Amino acid sequence: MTLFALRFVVFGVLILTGLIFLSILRLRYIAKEDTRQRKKSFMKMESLILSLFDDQILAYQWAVRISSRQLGYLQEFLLPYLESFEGESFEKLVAVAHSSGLVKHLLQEGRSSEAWKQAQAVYFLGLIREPQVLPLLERGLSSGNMFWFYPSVIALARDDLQNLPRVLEALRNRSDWTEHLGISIFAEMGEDVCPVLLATFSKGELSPKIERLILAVLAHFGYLKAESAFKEVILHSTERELKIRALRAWSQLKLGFFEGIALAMKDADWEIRVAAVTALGSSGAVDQAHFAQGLLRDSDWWVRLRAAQTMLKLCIREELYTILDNPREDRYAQDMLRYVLTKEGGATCVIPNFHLL
Amino acid sequence: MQRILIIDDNIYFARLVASQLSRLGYTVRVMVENEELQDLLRLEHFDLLIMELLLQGQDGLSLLRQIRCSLFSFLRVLVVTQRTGYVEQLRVAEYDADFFSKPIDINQLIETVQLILARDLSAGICV
Repeated sequence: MTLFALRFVVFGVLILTGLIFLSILRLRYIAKEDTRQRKKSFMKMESLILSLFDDQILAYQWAVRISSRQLGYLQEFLLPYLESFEGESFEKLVAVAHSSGLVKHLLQEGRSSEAWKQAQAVYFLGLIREPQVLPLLERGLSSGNMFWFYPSVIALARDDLQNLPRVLEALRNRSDWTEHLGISIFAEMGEDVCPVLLATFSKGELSPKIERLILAVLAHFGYLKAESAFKEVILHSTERELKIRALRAWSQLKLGFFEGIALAMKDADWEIRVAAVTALGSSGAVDQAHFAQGLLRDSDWWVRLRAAQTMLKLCIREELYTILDNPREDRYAQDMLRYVLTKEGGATCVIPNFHLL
Repeated sequence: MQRILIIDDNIYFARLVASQLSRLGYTVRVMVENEELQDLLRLEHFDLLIMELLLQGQDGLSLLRQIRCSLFSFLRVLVVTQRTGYVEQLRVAEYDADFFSKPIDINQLIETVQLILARDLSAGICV
């Protein structure tokens, strides 16, 4: 009896192993077949897109050659082109998406319960500014599902810049990753967002988190009209983070020196002093280098480092050698200056010899 | 006949731009891997390089710097990229290259290419 049971178990295990093996083979076959189909479809679609752009065929003539099974491939194929083109070329591709039934298919997928599919559909439809997707985007704004929320805010803001305040409001209500998320959203959208963001910022009534986000985006695009907004924050803001962000933006845009930077260099917060002395360096104000020299004796290492780097940018080498040579100068200040000079390539070991000679 | 080289990770986009430029009579070559760029530049002459900054394996800005520090520093470069920040634009300008941000209008791109190629090579090039 035991032997019989043992044989039965072994037999069962063998059958089970065989079934698993067959399933693996089947999955591999499906994956291979999918890759083959994808490659074939992509090759076909590439020749079609070339003909479309050469005006040899019209959008609907491409669309009729796409079967309903190939719509997924078409979506994947069109996406990088839609992200890369605008104007007439973009319109041609949107026409293909419409005539092939892809838009209809994606509108259904937008209501799918699979988060990833839904996100891809919403993103695609938002990119082509499909009006029917708007209700979905509206709901996406308050969705806790990141895959839905992210493409929704991008699509809404892209659709109409008037939607920006609502997008900012939606971002404000999220506790997670607001700044990073917002920056990547607006950076993706291009510098057209800058005037609207600046107007919203100037109105006030925003949370510090959103204000920081706006400053970062304005700096990212190098929006020079925001200079007075940055100045205002540097001079009057009591928000530490915001002030730092404005000072960083100031140096990123290489704007000129003004009294706000001098005041910030005297701030009790070391990070503000770091940002301020860096802004001084990028301003190129050689006549204000004495501010950096003062910070060379700062108690904080980072401030001394940035001050030394700023001096390297603003002063002629002889002035720096004089500081190194001065026995009354602070030792830590000299060390930092020597360190920065070494990093820059002006080997410090040469300096004593130079002076000895 | 003027020769153009395109480096872009997005092969489909690069091939599409290449086909449009070929229609106008340019000889266009497309590269996806930028590792062999220096060898290719040594072997063949190009009048213009169209490149993306977001490249696999290497940052486009460092590739641009390499070109400017090499024997081919005279090469006209047009950067067509998704990296549209102010800092990137500044750095591209510092490397004496033209800048075009994605999304692009293909007709505008072609006009820009024609303008760049019509530009006198001796002007504005720092060797």
